[in-house]
Order: sequence, then structure tokens, then C-alpha cells
Amino acid sequence: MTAQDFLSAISQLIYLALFVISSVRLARLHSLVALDTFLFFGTIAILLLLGDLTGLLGFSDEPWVGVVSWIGLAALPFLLLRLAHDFQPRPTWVMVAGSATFVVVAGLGAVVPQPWPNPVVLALVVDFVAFGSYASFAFLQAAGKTRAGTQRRMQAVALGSGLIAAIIALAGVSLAFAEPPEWIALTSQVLSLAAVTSYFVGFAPPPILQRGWQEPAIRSALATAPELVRLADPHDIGAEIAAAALEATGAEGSAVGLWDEAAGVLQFRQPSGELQSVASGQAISGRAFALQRPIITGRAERDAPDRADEYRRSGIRAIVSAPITSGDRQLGVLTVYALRPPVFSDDAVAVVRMLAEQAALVLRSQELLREAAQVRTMAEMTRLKDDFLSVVAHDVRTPLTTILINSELLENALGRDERNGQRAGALRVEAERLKALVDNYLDIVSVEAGREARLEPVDLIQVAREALEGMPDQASHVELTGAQAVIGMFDAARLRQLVQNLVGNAVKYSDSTDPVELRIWQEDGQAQLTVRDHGIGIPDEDLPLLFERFHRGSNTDDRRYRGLGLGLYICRLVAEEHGGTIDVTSKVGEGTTFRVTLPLASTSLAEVAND
Amino acid sequence: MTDDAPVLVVDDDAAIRDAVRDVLESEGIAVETAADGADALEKVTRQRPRLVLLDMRMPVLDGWAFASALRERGVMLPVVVMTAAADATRWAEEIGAIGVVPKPFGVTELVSAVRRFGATPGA
Repeated sequence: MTAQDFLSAISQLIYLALFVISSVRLARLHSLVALDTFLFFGTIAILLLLGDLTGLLGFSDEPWVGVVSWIGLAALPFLLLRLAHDFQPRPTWVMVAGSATFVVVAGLGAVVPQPWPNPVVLALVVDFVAFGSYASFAFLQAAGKTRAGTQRRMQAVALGSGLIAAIIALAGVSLAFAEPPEWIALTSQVLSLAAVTSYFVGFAPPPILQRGWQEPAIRSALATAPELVRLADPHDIGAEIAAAALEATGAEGSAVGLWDEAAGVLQFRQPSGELQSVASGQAISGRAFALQRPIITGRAERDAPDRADEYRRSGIRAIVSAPITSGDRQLGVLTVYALRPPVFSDDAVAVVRMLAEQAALVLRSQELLREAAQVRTMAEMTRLKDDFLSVVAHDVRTPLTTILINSELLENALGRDERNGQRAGALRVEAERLKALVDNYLDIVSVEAGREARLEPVDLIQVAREALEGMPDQASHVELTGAQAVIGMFDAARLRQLVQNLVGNAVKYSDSTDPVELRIWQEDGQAQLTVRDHGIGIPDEDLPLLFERFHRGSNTDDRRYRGLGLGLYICRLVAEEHGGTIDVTSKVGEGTTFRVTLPLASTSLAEVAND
Repeated sequence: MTDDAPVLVVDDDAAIRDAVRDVLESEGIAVETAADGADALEKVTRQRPRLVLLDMRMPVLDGWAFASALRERGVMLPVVVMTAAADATRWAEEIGAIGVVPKPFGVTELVSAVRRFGATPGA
């Protein structure tokens, strides 16, 4: 195999590959460009196959082979012209001249027997070169009006066509020689390979090349992306991205629709500032959003009949729309409108999709920044509230000390049987209530803020015992049951308070003759604590709200049962702070049982402490 | 230290000083008062008390400064912190106090705290 044969074989293989690719594309796309590309490469494939097969099978003498080959050859300049026309409309007279030339040349070849005289062949060569060059020029012109990948691909097609014209010109030159020199054949083989490579790059560029072409355009279009994040209104970001899409695709219009979760529609901001809503699944944009994949149409009127009037008025024929989605957050769509269908639909879709991906990134970043700012504000507000409460509590406690002591001294001095002594007693009781309120408030603030939890290996039974010691009046009604130490990582002070709150309630709402049962044991690696009374019980309707702040049972007459509605809320906070739970079972008139379950947290520590 | 040595009540709030004095004296405990740390320091050097009830946040010389001034002079005195702040326990640890009486307190709490931390009724 000579170098020439090798080059020729490669060129032929690439042409055949292009034919296969264009067939597949035509089957998928049904566009005029796809049809003309298919015809162009189909004709070349027929010519190549005929040439090879006739040589191989030895029927080169058959007259129909020559006729078919000739018609195919004559069709090539015309088909190239049609392609150029698809990309960039040509004047009518050029198209008429092209068709006429094709008919004349094809007819001539079919009728007039070969070999023809040299002047006729030369005229044909001039005709071929003229149309080839013209097509090349037309492609270049079209390339100038497009962007990014499409532009590069047009340039490649223009180069391929120019090279074909050069090869034919070279064939014409060889007529001048009786015995054409070797270099002419070799040069035309090299040019042929270059031409087919250019066509390949133009019509079927590998994805890596496509991405390489698109990226600079998209990057320059989104050079300002980091700045975009700072824009407060997502619609402002959308407008910037739409402008970038216009720049990158060279289309006539573009828009970003943002998904409005509350309204369940895509919102497009009009130049007037008003929002136009498009439902999911409606028009092209709504469909791209609903299906969560890019959609392209070259016939907008037909594919989106609900918007046909609008498209007819504006002359829009082609629409590419891609969803703007980050992970599972569906944020909106990017839609590009054009007066003509895109030359290479895959390019248009790829560019719009990449821009939509960038848009998703920018919009999501902005969303996260906004959320972070909100969290910061919330944290700041909580801190201010806590600080405020602490200061207020402190400032209330100091004068409360004076009131408490003096009312008590007064009560003692006047005597509890005296009317004035009773008045002083009422003062003292109210001061104590106020003191409890402030103490509870501070407890809640510190537990809610997660502060000051001091976890140590502690025996829960010991904690309960200490709690009862701190409330001698109530403790006499309590039966404490706990056989074995229940040691876990606990905050002893908090749990003491929990026990006091539960026992205090139980005693308060029971008859003084009925004992309150406090049981503590260990089960399934958890500490269990129950407080059971035989008191008035809790109505069913109160149970769901029992552990909420300021909730008090509907059967707790305020004059008989004093309380703030904070005790059980604090119990819940303390239980949850330990990673545990609190629940209640109760029956009106029979009694109530509170059950607290606390994980022992670190079992190893508990074992050490047990030893 | 003798039995008639007083309990020193240090608080910038006059109403508290008076109330505490009334309670403790009715229990037969001698009381001396001071309005701030500096005042208290002077009284400590004149007549050594058996117990100091110390408010922490005060003008001129606060509870911390008073405690460290005592240490510098090598004076060993039992101090009980008497404050309305939520951090009472931590503050008490910081200055090496032997106990805490959190405000607000009533007659019973005050008397039992003073008894517990070492001051028995005097003569």
C-alpha cells in the first residue's frame, strides 16, 4: 500500500463515518440542516462505494455505474450550496443558478459519451470550483454571525468546502499535463484528508472539542458570577444570567424564570418590573421545568400552541429552555429565543444547559448566603433576649430579697392571727411566687441556650434523696424506692430540680393522706424514674400541651393550686438536655404517673463509678 | 475569734444591709455592715468578723477585689457569697468562698446559711 492509498483509505473511512453520523442525526432531528447534511454525505458515500465496488467486483464497464457516478458528482456542488443556504439564506438567483447548473451538467454527462474534449472538462472544473468557493464563502459569512461552538464549526465547514474547491482546481490543473506529475495526485490526497477532517470537526465534533469551544464563551459571560451572588434580588441575578446567555448564544432573546414555591409557578420578570407567571408544564419553559431536562424546538408556534400568538407577533421560531437545578433544589429555567432555528441544535442545547448549571450555582450560593445571614440574625436575637432576661432577673432579685425578708419579719412581728400580719403574709407569698417565676425563667434561658450542663457520674437515687431533703414539707408524703444505684452522666443540679418539680406537683395535686411513689431503677441501659400520685389527675385535653411553656391544667383552680405553668416545661427541657424523654399517663380522679427515661450516656464511666 | 465577733454584711444596697441586720440580730447574732469592698476591708482590719456575707457587684471595690486584697494581707476569713447573679456558684469558687446564699433569700434561708457556715448566736 502506497502513502497515497493509505491517505485515500483514511479519507474514505471518515466520509463513511460522517455518512453514518448524519443518518443517525436525521433520524433523530428531522430538520432541514440534518436532511441536507445527510444528502451531501450520502452522495459522497455512494460515489466512494461505487468506485470501490466496481473495482472489486469488476463491473466497471457497466454503463449505469458511470451514469450514477456522474449524477452524484454533479450533485455535490449543488448540495453544498443547499447546506450553505440552510445556514445563511442565499439570494434566490444563486439557488436557481445552482439547480440549473446541476441539471445541465448531470444531463450532459448522462447523454454525451465520454471522454469529453478538454475545454468542456475545464468548463466543468470552473463550475465546480466556483460553487465550492462560493459555499465556503457563505459558511464563513454565517460563522461571523454566530458564537462559540457554532462559530468554530461553521469555520471548519467553510475550510472543508474551500479545500474541496482547491482539490477540484488541482484536477483542472492536471489537465494541462499529458502525463500528470506525481505531486499533483499526492497533494490532492493530502488536501482531501484535510477537507474530510474539517468536515468531521464541523459536522460531528467530539464532545471534548465542543466543550473546549463553549467554555471560554460561558466563562467570559459569567466572569461576574462571584459579584452576582451579592445581588439581593434573585431576579437581578436572573437578568444578568439571561444577558450572558444572549451573549453566548447570539440569540435574539433570553429570560430566566424563577420557581415560586408558594405560588407554584415560574416567575419571569418583565422589563416593566412586573412578574409574569408560567405554570409548570406550560409553554416550553414550563415543560423544561416540569420534565427537568433541556427542551429545544425549531417550531415554537406548533410546539407551544398556548403561546402561538405571542410567538407569531415577535417572529420567534426557535426556543431552547434548560432547567436551573442544584442538587434536588429546582430553582427555575433559562430560556433562549431565536428568530431562526439554531444551526447545530446540540450546540445550542449544550450552551444553554451549561449556563443554566452556572445559574443554579450562583442562585444556590446566594440562597445559602441569605440563609446564613438569617441564622446569624436569629442567633444574635436569641443572645440579646437571653442577656436581657439575665439582667432583668438580676435586677428583680435584689429588691425581691428586701421585700421577702421584711414581709416575713413584719408577719412574725404582727402575728399571723392579726389582720395586718395576714396582709404581710400575703406580701410574702406573692414575693415568693415572683421569686419562683424569676428562678424558672433563668433556668429555662440557661437550659434552652444549652449552657452550664455539668455532666458527671452521679447516682440518680442519691440525687433524688438530696432533692427530697431540699423540700422537707413535701418529702414526708413521698415513698422512695430504689434498690440499686443508678449511675450515669448527669447534671445533678438540674435533675434535683426535675425531681422537685415532679414531686412538688404530685404532692400539690394529691390528698395529704395518699403517698406519692417515687421509683428509680435501671432498665435496658437507661435510667428510669417514675413519680406516681393518686391525686385529681389530668383531663385528656390537657395532655398534649402539658409540657409546653405556661400551660396549666384546666382543672387546676388558681386559688387552690398555685403555679406558673413552667415546672413541667423545665422537666422536659432537662430530660431532653440529657438526651432523654418524659411522658405522662393520667386519669381524672385516679391519679397521674410521670415517667422520665434518661440514657446513662457513658456506660464505661458508670461502671468505673460502680466499682 | 470570739463568739461576740460580728458577721460582716457587705452590700451596696442599704435596704438589704438593714434587712439582713434585722434578721440576724433578732437571732442574737452580732452584725457589722459595709457599703463596699473598701469599707469592708477597713472594718476587717479593725475588728475581725467571724463570717463575711459578701455581695459581688459593688462600686469602689467589688467582691473579687475585696477577696484578693484579703489574700494579699494574709487574712484568712470565711466568706459566703450573697448575689442575685446566675453565676453565683462559679463566682464563689473563683474567690475561694465557703458557700453561697443566692438572692432572693428569705429569713429561713439566711439564718440557716449563717448557722451552717459557722456563726452561732453570740452572748
